Amino acid sequence: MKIMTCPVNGPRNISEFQWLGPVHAEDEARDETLVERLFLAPNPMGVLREWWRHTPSNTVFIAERNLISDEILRTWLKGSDADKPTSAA
Amino acid sequence: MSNRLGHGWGSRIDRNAAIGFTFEGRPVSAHPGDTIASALAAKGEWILSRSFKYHRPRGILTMAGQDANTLVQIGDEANVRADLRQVAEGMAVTPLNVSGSLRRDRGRIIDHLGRFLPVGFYYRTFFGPRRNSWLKLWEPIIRASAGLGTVSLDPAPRRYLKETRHCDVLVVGAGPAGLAAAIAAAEAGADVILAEKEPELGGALTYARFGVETADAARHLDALRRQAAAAGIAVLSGATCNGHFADNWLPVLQGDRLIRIRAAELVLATGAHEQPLIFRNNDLPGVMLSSAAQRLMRHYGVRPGRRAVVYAGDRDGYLAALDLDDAGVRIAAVIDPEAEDRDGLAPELARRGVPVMRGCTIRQARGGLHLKAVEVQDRQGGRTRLDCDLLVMAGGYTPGYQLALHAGARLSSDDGGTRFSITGVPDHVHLAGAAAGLSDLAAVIESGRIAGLRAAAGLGLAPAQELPAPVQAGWRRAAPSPAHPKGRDFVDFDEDLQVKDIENAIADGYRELELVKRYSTVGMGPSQGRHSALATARIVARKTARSLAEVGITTARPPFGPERLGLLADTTPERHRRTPLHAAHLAAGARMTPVGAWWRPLVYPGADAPEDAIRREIRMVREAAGMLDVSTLGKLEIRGPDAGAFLDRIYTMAHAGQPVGRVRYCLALNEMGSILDDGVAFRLSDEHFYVTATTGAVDRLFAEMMLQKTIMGARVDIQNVTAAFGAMNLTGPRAREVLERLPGSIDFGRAGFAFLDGREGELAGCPVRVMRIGFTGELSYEIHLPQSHAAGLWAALLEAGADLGLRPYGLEASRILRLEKGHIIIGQDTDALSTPDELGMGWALSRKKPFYIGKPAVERRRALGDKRRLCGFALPDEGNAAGVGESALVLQDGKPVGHVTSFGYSPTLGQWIGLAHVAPDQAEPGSRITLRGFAGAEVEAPVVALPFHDKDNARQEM
Amino acid sequence: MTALAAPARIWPLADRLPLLDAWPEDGRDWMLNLSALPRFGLRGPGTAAWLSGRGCPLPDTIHRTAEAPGMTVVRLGGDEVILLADPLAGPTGLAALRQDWQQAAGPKGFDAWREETWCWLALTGPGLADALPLLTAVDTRPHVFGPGAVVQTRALHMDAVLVRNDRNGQPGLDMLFDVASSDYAADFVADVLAGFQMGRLAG
Repeated sequence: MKIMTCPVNGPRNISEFQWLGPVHAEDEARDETLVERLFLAPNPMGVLREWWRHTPSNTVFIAERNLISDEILRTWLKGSDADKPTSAA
Repeated sequence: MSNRLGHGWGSRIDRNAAIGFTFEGRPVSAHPGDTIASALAAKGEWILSRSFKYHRPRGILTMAGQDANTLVQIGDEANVRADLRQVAEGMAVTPLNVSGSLRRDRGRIIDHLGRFLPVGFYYRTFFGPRRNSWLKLWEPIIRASAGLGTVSLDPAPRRYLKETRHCDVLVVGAGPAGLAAAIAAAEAGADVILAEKEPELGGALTYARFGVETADAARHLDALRRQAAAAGIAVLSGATCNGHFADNWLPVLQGDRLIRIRAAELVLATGAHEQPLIFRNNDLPGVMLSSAAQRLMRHYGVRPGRRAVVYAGDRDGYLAALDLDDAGVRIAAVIDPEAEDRDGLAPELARRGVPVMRGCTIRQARGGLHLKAVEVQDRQGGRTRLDCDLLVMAGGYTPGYQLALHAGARLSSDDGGTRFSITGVPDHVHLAGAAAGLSDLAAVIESGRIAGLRAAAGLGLAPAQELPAPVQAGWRRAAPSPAHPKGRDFVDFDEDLQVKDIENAIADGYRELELVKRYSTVGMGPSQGRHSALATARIVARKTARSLAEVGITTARPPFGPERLGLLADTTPERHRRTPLHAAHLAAGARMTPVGAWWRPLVYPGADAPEDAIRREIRMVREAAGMLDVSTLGKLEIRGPDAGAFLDRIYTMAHAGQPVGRVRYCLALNEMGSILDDGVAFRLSDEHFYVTATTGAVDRLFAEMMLQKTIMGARVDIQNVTAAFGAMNLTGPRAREVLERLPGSIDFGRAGFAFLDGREGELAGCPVRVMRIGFTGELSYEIHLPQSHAAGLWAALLEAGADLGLRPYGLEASRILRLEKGHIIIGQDTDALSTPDELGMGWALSRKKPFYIGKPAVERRRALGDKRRLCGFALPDEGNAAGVGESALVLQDGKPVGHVTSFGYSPTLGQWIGLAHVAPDQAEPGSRITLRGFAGAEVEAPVVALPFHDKDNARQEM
Repeated sequence: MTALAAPARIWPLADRLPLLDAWPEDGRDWMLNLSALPRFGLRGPGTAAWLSGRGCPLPDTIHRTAEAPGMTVVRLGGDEVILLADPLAGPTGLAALRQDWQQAAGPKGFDAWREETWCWLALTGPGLADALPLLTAVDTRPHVFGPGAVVQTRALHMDAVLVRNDRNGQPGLDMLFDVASSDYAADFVADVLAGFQMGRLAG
């Protein structure tokens, strides 16, 4: 049972969390990029940014996960000090 | 004549007491602490079962639960390992896999038919002799003879508990290495749990011999036990660690309790499994591992035989010979395949007068129901017969690799290529002792201490200096495994697989170990390769000219050992949710039904048959008034300066400009433009909306809202108050009259409270939010209020409206009432692809808003054109002879183009009506669609404009 | 038109647990339904400021409690607080505080409907430490989850708020969870903590 570290509640069993999808480059879908956004799910050989929610406390946050090793590298709240772009993985 | 040894042997039994049990109906006397197998052995009963395929007599092999020879049935409990289960008074033990008795099992004839049961037999049954022989001939035979224990369909109830514990360090295995690790970690300040599957701590120190003299080991055992007790370690004994999962999450099974342990650091001191040697008839009762003989003697005080031969493929064979000699067993000879003495134990044996035959192997064992003799072959081919009733095999060891491999480690082989070793152990996991390939006692204890300190260092409790692991010099023997021409030289005792079976699998083309396993079923029995994996890999390596490391083993996956389903199953009560009106429904005689996790009333039959009651409820709503408990509806408080703008983004209609006091339909799409959910939004103030959603989708919708709020950075508070508010929908032409009979602050008159208005206020002393909405098409008021007030108001309304004909009604009637108005149910009339256009709901898509979720997609899909449309239809006749129902197909030119989504009999219209997905060119009223009923017949039905009833929708605006 | 008295409010599990006069003093393990007791929850911008401004003690960090006369102050977030009446105290200041809040001008947070959204069960007694691992998978060791600690997690297979709240010299736990699952929760505790007595206190 994997551990996910919620930025607010700390490390918890992954069963306390809900996956909400990848972090898109744009907040709103646009006609020009629609097909890619809907049907070409990002699946890099490397790190992906994803939205997650801690269901008991309704904390929505971002996680950086290495899709090869399934290692969760870091988690942070949008708008917090930790919300800075990392170097490309 | 009893096989009990005198005092000094039998550390686990209490000789002062006696317990009686039965085996095959025969009484057996035992001591407290005996296992079933040790008690039978003490009595001289060595046959415990008949083997899986050939029905050969079998007895003790490992004496450690690592083989299937000892599986027995106790009452309704199947597949109990007799060498592990402690005897209890009155136990009725019966053997498995026998027809008749163990000694005279009728199945034993199969042993002589062996050549008709080649390897891959099951696979071959799919091919002949005839096409369906696998079903008609083989399957019944195999089914009747397959399986081991008998499962009771009416078992005595047992209580299983599950708990979760956290610790700094979990040490698995309380042998010398595990004890040393636990002590070192605990003394460094860590919070330690020590799990041991045996009933006592000490592991091999409790039964094995480490040298000519034995006082040293006894001293170590005593010291380790004392230090462990003093160190404040939490000890779980009789507790098997059954797997390793992500981030050091491990299940430990202790009796009827499953303990899930989360450990920051893990020490695996899982020991090693002794291996058998391979020769013809190596499965006879009386042939056992050297550690099995030692356990019988040291734990249970049982003499394993009277005249023994020791097959020493490993140094431990010599040590076991010393133990047997101490116990008074005559040793005919120690057989050593090696020509020279490399262990330095030969002088002691010579001193005791025990003959050693060097450079020899055992060619076969002889005996019927029990070992009688062995045939020894020397290097020149000369043969010697030795009479004996006990053959003790020491075949070397395979480390207890299972948990390490679950954790991601790999098996490779040692330098000599003769046995496995574990590599690639991940972070936060540490190996110790025999699992790390060590056997010298001092090295084992030291490796445990180091592993414990490394675990403590991982927690920051000890300095993280580089601690060198002890390296043990010494060489290992390669055990010979020659195939006997007549076979019955077993590699896997559980599956009855001989050397030639493995060799034939390879000859049939299955050269990879994964394929050998699946074709031959080696390692798939209850002991899961614990006594067969090494031998199999050696044979495959030899036959395919590869090294042991190249061949490897098949991956180990949880569970490590058998686990009862009750330990895995959730045996706690099933979760259900109740509305605040639940007790009232039961008191009114409602027939309740589970809808997801909620209990809801289906119908209130009273004295009527349910069908009649449903029609009665429908009529009541259309002619007078009815009330439905809609408390399960999703409800959301949306509050804050950005509330309106936020709803504008989530839903398709315009809400930012929605007037206060008005209620507006809301439709939510996903990014694909498909319908996610619907409901209504009641604007209570500029910055406060009360929004409803469907029972089934509210949780998903709420999660989506939380995500969008975060992405937008919207200044809005969203709270899911679904269960906090009760809700009732009062509907029917007389609904207003009922409400006006109760005291309150709200003016329910038509002028003051129009259709789609919402009001806050007080009703019968309860704070309420009332909305003029509904789905029945009649005059409707939906009343929402805090759940603690709901039951009181429900009762007050029913009392006030009793003489007007007001009664509660249930889901069945509700479904017809809304169908008569053509209202869709999300998830029934819609699916993952439904767009608003398909449902004729294009009016709900705002043209003015620059963006809402799903807008770009819905516009793109509109340009592509509808693939289907939802429309209403009615059956032409009064009856439904064709058997049309929900999911019935809609056909066009004989091909399916859609299906019926909702269907039912409308007493209001006197017709069978429904909704269906049809081809776009069939959807106009006046068309005819072809339906295929479940009775097989087809019927043509006209498409009817919606709504079916009250075409102008005038009644809801009364 | 009939003149009706305001109907009584109904709290979860009222029909299945025996009513106790007072908090039990027998030193045994108890599950007590406190859902009828007053509580008041606030959430959203202005919550912390309004409470502090009114003199209500607030824990400095989230997921801790603070004591105030007649109540426990539970901080669930930067701007999310629930006030739980103290069952051992007399009439609390909660009613007055709620009234003040209703009459105050903003920003003052939003009413979180906490007397309605949640069932409130308390576990108390010497068996609490052994009971906690049977209810939840979160770390409940005393040095990690001691008195005053608050955790938002899953317990009894549901989302729940757990508050370590010792009363009357006994270790104790308050559990707040979905009100619609009250009967299920009582069934669960009866099944898993078979040695616990059960009762309820009136408001």
